[in-house]
Amino acid sequence: MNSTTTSAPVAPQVHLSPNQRAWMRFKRNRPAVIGGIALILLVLITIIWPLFSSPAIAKILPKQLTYSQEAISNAQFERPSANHWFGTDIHGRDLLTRIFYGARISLIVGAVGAFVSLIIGVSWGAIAGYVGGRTDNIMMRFVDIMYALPSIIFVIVLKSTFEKQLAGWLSKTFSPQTANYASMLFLFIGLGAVSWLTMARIVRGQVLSLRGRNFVEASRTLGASHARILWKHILPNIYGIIIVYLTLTVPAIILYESFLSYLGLGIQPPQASWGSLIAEAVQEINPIRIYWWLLVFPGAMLVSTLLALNFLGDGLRDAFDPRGNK
Amino acid sequence: MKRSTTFLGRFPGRLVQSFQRFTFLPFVAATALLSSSCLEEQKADIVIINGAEPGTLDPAIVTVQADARISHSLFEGLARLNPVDATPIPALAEKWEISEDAKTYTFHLRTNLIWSTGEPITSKDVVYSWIRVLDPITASEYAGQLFYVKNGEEFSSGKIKDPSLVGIKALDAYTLKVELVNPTPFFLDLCALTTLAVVPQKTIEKYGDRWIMANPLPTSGSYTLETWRIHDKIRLRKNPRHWDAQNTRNNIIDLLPSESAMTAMNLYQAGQADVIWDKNLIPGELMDVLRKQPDCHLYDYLGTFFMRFNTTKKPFNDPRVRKALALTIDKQRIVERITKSGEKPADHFVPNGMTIYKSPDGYGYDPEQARKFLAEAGFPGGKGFPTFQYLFKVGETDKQIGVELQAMWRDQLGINMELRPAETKVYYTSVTAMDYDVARSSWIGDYNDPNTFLDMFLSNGGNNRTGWKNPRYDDLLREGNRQLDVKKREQILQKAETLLIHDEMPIAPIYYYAGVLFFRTNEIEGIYYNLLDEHPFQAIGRKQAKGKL
Amino acid sequence: MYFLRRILQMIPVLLVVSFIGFMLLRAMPGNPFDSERKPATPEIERNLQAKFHLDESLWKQYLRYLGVVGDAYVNVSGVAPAETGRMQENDFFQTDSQPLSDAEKKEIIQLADQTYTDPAPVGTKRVFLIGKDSETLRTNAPVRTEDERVGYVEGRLKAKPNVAIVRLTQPDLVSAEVKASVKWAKSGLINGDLGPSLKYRNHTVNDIVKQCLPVSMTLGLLAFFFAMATGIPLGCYMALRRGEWGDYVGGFVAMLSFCIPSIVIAPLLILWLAVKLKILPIALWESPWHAILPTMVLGLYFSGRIARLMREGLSTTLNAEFITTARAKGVSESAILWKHAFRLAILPVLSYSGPLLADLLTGSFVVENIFQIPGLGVFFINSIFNKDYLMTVGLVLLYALLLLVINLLVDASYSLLDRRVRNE
Repeated sequence: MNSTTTSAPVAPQVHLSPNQRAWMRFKRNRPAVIGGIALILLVLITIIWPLFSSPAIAKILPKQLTYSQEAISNAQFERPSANHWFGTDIHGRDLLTRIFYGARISLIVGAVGAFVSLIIGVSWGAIAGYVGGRTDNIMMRFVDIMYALPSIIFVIVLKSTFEKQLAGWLSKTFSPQTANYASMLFLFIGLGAVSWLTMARIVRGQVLSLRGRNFVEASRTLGASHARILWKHILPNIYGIIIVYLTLTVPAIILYESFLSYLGLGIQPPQASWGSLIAEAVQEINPIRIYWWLLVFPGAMLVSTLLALNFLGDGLRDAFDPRGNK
Repeated sequence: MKRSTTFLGRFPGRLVQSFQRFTFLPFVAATALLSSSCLEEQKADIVIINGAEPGTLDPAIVTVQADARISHSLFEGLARLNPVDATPIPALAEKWEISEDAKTYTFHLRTNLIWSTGEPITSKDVVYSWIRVLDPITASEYAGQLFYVKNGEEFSSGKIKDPSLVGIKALDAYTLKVELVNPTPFFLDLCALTTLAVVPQKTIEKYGDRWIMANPLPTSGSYTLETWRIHDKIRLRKNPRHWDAQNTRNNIIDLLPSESAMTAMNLYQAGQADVIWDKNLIPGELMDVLRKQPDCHLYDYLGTFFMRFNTTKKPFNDPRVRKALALTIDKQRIVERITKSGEKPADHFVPNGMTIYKSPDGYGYDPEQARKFLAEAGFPGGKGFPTFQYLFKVGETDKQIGVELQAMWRDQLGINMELRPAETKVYYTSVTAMDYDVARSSWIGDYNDPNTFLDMFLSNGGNNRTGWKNPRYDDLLREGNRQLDVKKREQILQKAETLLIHDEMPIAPIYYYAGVLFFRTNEIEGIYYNLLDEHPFQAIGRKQAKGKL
Repeated sequence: MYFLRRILQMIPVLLVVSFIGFMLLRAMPGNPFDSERKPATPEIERNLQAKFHLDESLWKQYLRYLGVVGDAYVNVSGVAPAETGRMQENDFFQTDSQPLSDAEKKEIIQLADQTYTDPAPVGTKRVFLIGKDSETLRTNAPVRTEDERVGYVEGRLKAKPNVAIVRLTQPDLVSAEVKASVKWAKSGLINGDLGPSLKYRNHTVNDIVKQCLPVSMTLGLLAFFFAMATGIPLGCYMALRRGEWGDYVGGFVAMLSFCIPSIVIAPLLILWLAVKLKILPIALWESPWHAILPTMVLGLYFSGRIARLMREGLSTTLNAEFITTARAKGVSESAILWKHAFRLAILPVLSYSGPLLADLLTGSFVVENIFQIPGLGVFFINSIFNKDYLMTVGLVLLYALLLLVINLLVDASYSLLDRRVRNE
């Protein structure tokens, strides 16, 4: 609440658009800014990382950064050392490299989940809650049905029915290497298909509660259109819960991918994702010895990324909160 | 705590028991916490971590070895396996005669056989049990084990409807005559299989598929089934009416189903279980440490891990390509770094250790030669070799082997392989439909004879699944199995195996499984190492107090 | 009225779920009976398919699952033709009243003798079953008295389809004065029968649900209460300390809880509390002590989420107009919190807890696997991979039913807590 009270005198003096004001507020929120910068850095590193192992660039970089993702070696289960900063796995592959390759998949998975639940989940829930009546009933029963059917089945059926065709099409239209993405795509679709359901339920519940309130009634009597009421009056009031639930969806979906990897339905080996790295590391937790680096490094990456995401989410939420204008 | 099965009606009496366990709601749980333990079940003499939850204990339907072990302790056949070396010894049959042409067996049952519920066991029960395995209604996956018996196959496929035409007849209450299609050197081993065990006709006809859950359940083996709580526990109690009951060492045996190797090992280390004997329940990643402990027992075992090539697909229709791929597999590395449980690199298909057979030599690890083969086949340095897929079933070890193979082939031959993991059932379906390029495979022998391995690759064999058809191989195998002279038979079968693992290589052997057992040698006895990994429950017991030793 | 309608709506929803579920499952690749070793002949495979009706058309299989299509069986009463051996003139069971002439009987016996050249095996007996309705009998249809199975239908005469050949396996339980009738077996969903399991062949799906659901429900409820009891106070604390250190620390703790999956936390806790300190059991499900670790593992994962939602709900509510009004009126802070704010603040948690509770009650694969708990969660996943179709559909339906009921309860409590929400 501190941040909102200090911002109060600023707002009325200069004429700024609501978005500009939100941006001002956001900039003042230190954790949120740091979180945002960290995330952007991570995305950048992830994008350029594969370039490191290409011969031309590898010459100028320390060799610790240039291991290829797939090269196996005799250095099985090596502790973190000068050679391998994050240690190695059962095949003697460098963990640092695998974590940054894994970041791509995990970040995409998280983004897909967030995107689907934001677009489909929010609009579905908002419409159901706002329109109410029979529409609401039908829409929510659809959510129930989708929720009841295990998403694993979706993933399996999608993969088995369409993967071959898509892989064939991809390798013909683009290059043979892209055929690999077919299975990934279905993984994303399968994960996306379930990620929006709870969001829809939560948003619907909130809208249901808001649409009876005075300010909504008021703007209705003033002749505002439904879309406008929904967009301008109701949604801003539930930004908070939407962002919070998004920050819950992203880790859930990343970890769900790890569960699928564990069942063999996730990412195609030898590729890695943070989830699959964690699932592999779990095997090495036992009373006799613990190859701790296998768990700690991917785990720490996951937690710190999500922490950054969380701070960013909180910052955005505070910045756009209409009540913050006071 | 007494079990009452009356209040919930007659049949699935056994199913009701679980309610008396810890299934009450949290509020009750809280109060129960204060009143200490709510469970006063009698302690078992021996607790064994057996394997995954059994699919069935019906001997005719059992296909999983872990399930068969339990089933076999409940139901016995004409012969059973010697616990020491897993050779067939008399069980329900006291003795038998084999005719000159080795095609007719006459079995003499013991006259003192009774079911655990008190009724006599006669030759009629044996006939019923065998016919039941063949009967299409039973839908037994292992019905094939009785196809060596005259008209067995015809009856099973419905070509003849009359069970009395099948070559098994009860001459009187204690004598049985079995006619075979061909001389079958391993027929007595078959008689000791769980599939051919003797089961109670009345109970089965009364209850249908759920007959195992009948209470009381008449059993013919050394134990009776006391409890079967799904995914929780199976409790066996000694059958005092078994003909050999004086040699049954334990009163109560508990079998815990488990699907997590780490949990199994933790329970064992904490002393809550006495034996682990399922390969899937041994944490492979720890075996380099565990195998040095005195309670870890490693021994030879009739199982081979190998690769199938789809010989109907280009370029795998070329034996040189298959050989090139096979010769590049660094089996030593896989065994030492990945599987770690005492497996041995395999250069031939039939595992070592069979008394009547020694395999011919195959290829070892030789990337130099492999590159030559590949060049001869038209792909020097791997140029022009299409990207292909390696099919395997989901699982950590299989995945790791796949990753290793991928790198070996890429680095040594310059060819590109993609990993294609599939769920277990999909994997099997794909292999059967020949929808693969190269596939991981494994085979566990049913009986101590090379035939249990070699007959897989007969041209029309259902387990062939490589598309490899070789009439000479078929002839050699047929000839070998007709041959009664052991030495000559060995030579003929060696010729056949040479075709398989040297000349043609539709498969590439990778390693032989090792038998792994965990039990504390100073507490438990009666578990022996044998090729079939069979450990009859009857022989297993706790060592007596030190004074006696 | 609204809720009555919602309850009635469950029926079509469940039907849709069962239909989509059934068809999706059957669209999956793989066959329940494929394994490392193939049966010796294709006929054996066909027998297996036939036994579980997998050889029928998908529509028929689905209708059979619902219980609309079922199997006929023969119901007989009375005590038996004592002699066994070849079929004779008095071995006729009739299901309708038209008497047969001797000539007809002779003809039938003759026809039968041509098809069934062998005598029935010792101890069993063949008889004829005649009547229009006997045409509905499949081969292998059971023949039963009121409480026991006494035989099965062996086949039907080609020339006279209304004559079924019945093999009595327990002939001493059926008598000369026999009354026979063809009846439809009570099976399928409409009779509460979830069908057989293709993998656990000595059990039906009902058997397994009956044994395992109570265990999963116990564990699920415990975990739910654990998650609520830790999550809600933490969330309230964070909301009241919004923007202060307490908020950040609490947020970090909550975040750890939902970033660390149970596959990681479970082995770590076992290692620490059960193996090293030996204060809790490693696994199994035998006493209340055994429930502690799994409850914690299962509950922890959700308590962080609940804390986040609670924090959001409470801090939004505390900013709302009516709270400000109440403050201005001089209502005490604690009264504001408990009387006004809390009721609205809990709503997001409530929405979330509907599906959560349904999830928890039907068991968790990971926790049940690691702690070797005999619950349903393991079956949920394994049955999909085993292609144990009927088991999966059954469990999905069970889950759907729980979900619908709980969501209904959630919606009901919504209008109780927030009077502005009208359910119409």
